[in-house]
This record gives sequence, structure tokens and C-alpha cells, in this order.
Amino acid sequence: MLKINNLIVNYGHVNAVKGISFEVKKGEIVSILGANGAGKTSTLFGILKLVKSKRELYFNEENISKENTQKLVKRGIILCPENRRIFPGLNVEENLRIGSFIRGNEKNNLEKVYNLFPILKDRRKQFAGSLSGGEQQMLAVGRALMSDPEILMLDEPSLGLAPIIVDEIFNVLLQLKNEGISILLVEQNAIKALKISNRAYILETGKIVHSGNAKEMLQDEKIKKAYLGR
Amino acid sequence: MLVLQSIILGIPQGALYGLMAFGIALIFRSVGVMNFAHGHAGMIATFFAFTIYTLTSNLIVAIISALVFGFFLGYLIDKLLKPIKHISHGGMLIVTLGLLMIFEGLSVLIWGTDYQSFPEIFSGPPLIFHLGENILVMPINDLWVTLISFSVAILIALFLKYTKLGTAIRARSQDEIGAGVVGISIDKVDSIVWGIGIMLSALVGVLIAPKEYIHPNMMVNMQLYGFTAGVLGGFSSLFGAIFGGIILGILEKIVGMYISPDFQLSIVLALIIIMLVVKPSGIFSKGFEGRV
Repeated sequence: MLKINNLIVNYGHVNAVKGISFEVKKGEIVSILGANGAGKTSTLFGILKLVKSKRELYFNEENISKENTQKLVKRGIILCPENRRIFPGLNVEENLRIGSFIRGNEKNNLEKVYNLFPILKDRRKQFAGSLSGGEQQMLAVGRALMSDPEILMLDEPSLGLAPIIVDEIFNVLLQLKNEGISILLVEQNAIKALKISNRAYILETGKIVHSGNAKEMLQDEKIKKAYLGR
Repeated sequence: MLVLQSIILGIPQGALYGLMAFGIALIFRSVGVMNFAHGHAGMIATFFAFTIYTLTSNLIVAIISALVFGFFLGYLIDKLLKPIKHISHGGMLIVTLGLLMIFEGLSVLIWGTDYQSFPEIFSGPPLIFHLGENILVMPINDLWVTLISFSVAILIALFLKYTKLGTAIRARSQDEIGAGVVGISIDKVDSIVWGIGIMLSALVGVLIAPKEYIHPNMMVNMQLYGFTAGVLGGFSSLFGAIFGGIILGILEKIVGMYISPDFQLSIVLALIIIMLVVKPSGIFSKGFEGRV
């Protein structure tokens, strides 16, 4: 459903992503794993043109390489960015509503998100900046869901969260997958990510060094040693 | 009683400072540019109103066309600055100082350096209140200026709070990446913010024109006072800017009344320094809103 060919992201003279290609099929969870500075966030930003990038992009076989960020969001390619990037001075409900800025039915989706994360409903008049880290992450995921994603890209959704909250968020991801939403997951918590993924790519200094079936990767001793820290 | 009279005279003046500060703060918070050409852009729009008024003799048409002109002038400035959007705050400040000189030169070139007069929106005898032995005077045009300033500020605040576009503007001022991923076009929002900001400056221009006359330097004081009002109220809070303006307006009149009108400007400059030393975030600042 989403196919990326030869993605290159440069910051001045630094080559953050050096021509990688990968795809996410309909209803799949695909992980991109790698250490700090491997180019994971740049990959996601590059897909959405949030930074200057070169790539070919196919969405349901259609070539959409030339479209800008707004058009890509309008198609349902939605990013839930690293560090949440919620709007701290807007209240929870405003944060969610703005998620439907150019795509998605505000009213229906609001109800859906509140069902998924009831805590957000209790907090809906609070400033988003006053929420706890876990609640902020739920808000960020909720905001992404407000735009009816066809493909949801998540950047480090488990960053800095208590294990119990991480489990809750990963459960929601599985639930979304069952609803037919494709998910591209960027994670440092590799074991956890592989457990819910269909396939995975391992990124190292801007290149894909390994790709394959997630279950097999979890078994592979060499990969475990080199990348999963076991 | 003199104090009350100072307050009554200070509020209309302060409301205008507040509107100036509101525009400067709006642009600063959203786009991240401290605009030193704010007043001069409004001056160009006021000259435009003067031309329209000379042609049509219709004050309402003249004022509305100045506002529309101000909006497009702001829009144009944003488009002009787009290639250098991500340079430092300091760099941008110098660029807007350059803009100020361009506007000044343009106005001299097109309209000359003569002082032009502009009619009041509402002329008539001042309102006089009797309080026992004393009387208080409120010029009728000042009353209108105050009402217009407050209504415009409230309208814009409602627009920012309750409309989709307004929420997008606030969102953009708080997190650029976050705004990008929900599909807000940063470029469009910035152009609109510039438009609204300069429109406010144009409004201040046509409102002070009857008192100050129209000339290339008519808005220099407004720029300075507006900036001070912003520092006072804190650039992080738009209503802080309005209240900062009113405090400044009243203070200015009180200083003029009790000390000497010569000290009015010095007090303003001293206030900037004191505020920046004591509470740089302003009186009405909130913890986590927008950029610093």
C-alpha cells in the first residue's frame, strides 16, 4: 500500500538516510529498528516531506512522489511524531479536533478516540501540557487517529513511558491493525516491536542492513546479539 | 480627581498600544519574527486610507480599504521573507529594520513628507461627567477608539479560540512539527498571521491619524509603545499585551500629569529595562504556552 524507493535525506553535508527502499502492505505492522542516529526519524520525516528529501513514493500503486505534506496527510498518511509534539497550550479536546484539520470526521472520530482512551475524556478541558507523559502519548496517538489514517506511522511511541502504559499503547496498535489500518512503527524497544510486527527492517547509519519476517528475527541468534541487545 | 482624569484619558491611548502589542505578539508567537516594521507597515496602510478618502470622501470606505490593504501588505511581507524564514531571531530583527526603512522611503516617495489630516470617526462635544464638585472629560472620539479597539481584540481572540483556522494558528505557534503532521500548511498560516497583524497596525494607524496627522514617522511612537506594552504584558499571552498597553497608557498620562510630559518617553524606556530585569516573561505570562 505504501512503497518507498530510494529515500535520501541530507542535512547539509550529513547524509542521514542513504537511499533506502521498503514497503508496508495493507493491514501489516512493519517495524523499523535501529540505534540512536540510525536515521529512523529522518526516514519518517522524509516520507512526509517534513524535511527536504528525495524519494519515489507509491500509495496504492499510484505515484505520489511530488505531493507536499498537506496532500500526503489528506491521503491518510499520518505520522504520530517522536516526543509526541502535542500542543501544550491547547486543551485536550482542541488537540484532538485539530487532528481532523484536513481529513477525518471530527465528531465520530472524537467519540472513537474517547472510547479507546477513556482517560482523555476525563481530561478533555485540561491543557495538554499538564498531562502526564503516558497521557500525552495517548493524546498524540489519538490526534493521529482523528485523521482516519490509512497508514499510521509512529515514531517511538514507547519513549520514556512506564511498561504498563507501553503495553496499553501496543494493545491499541494491535486493535488498529485488526481494523485494517497499516502501521509503520519506529522503535528502540526492539523486542516489543518485533513481537507485534509482521515484518521488520533494521537500519544502521542510514542504510537498511537487514530485513525480514519479525518472528524469524526474534529467533535469529546473530540478530539478537547485534541489534536486540541480548 | 486628576488621577481619575488621567485614567480616563489613558485608557483610549492604552487600548491602541494594546492593539499594537497584540499584532506584534501575534506575529512573534506564530511566525517567530520580532517585527520592527510593524508600525511603518500600518503607516503605509494609513496613507492608503488617506488617498482613498481624498478620492471618495467616504471615511468608512477609506478605513475598510486600509484594513484590507494592511492584510495584503502583511501577506506580501510574509511571501517576501519566505526564503529567509529560518534565520536567527537577531537576523530577522535586522531584516525588519530594513523593511522599516523601505516603507519610510516608499511613503516619502509616493506621498511626500507633508503632514496630512484625517477626520475623526465620530466628532462632537466631549462627554462630561459631574462628580460632586469635580468634572471628568472624555472626548467622544476617544470613547469610540476604545470601543473599536476592545471589540477588535475580542473578535480576534474569539476567532483564535473557536474557529478551525484560529486553532490552527495557535497550534502552529506551539509546535511546528505537530502542526505539520495534522496537515496544517505552515506557509499559509504564517501569511494569514502576518496579514492579521499588519491589519491591526493599519487599524491603529487610521485611529490615531486624526490626532497625530499622517506622515512617514507617525507610527514610530506606536511601535515603541506597542513593543513596551508587549514586554509588560508578556509576549506569551495575547491578552497580556492588551492589558500591558492599557497599563502603559494610564501610566503615561499619570507621569505627564504629575511629573512632566517630557518624561513620558523616558519612563517607557525605563519600563522596558526594569521589566526585562525583573520579570522578562511579562506580568501575565503563562508557564508553557508557545515559544519564548
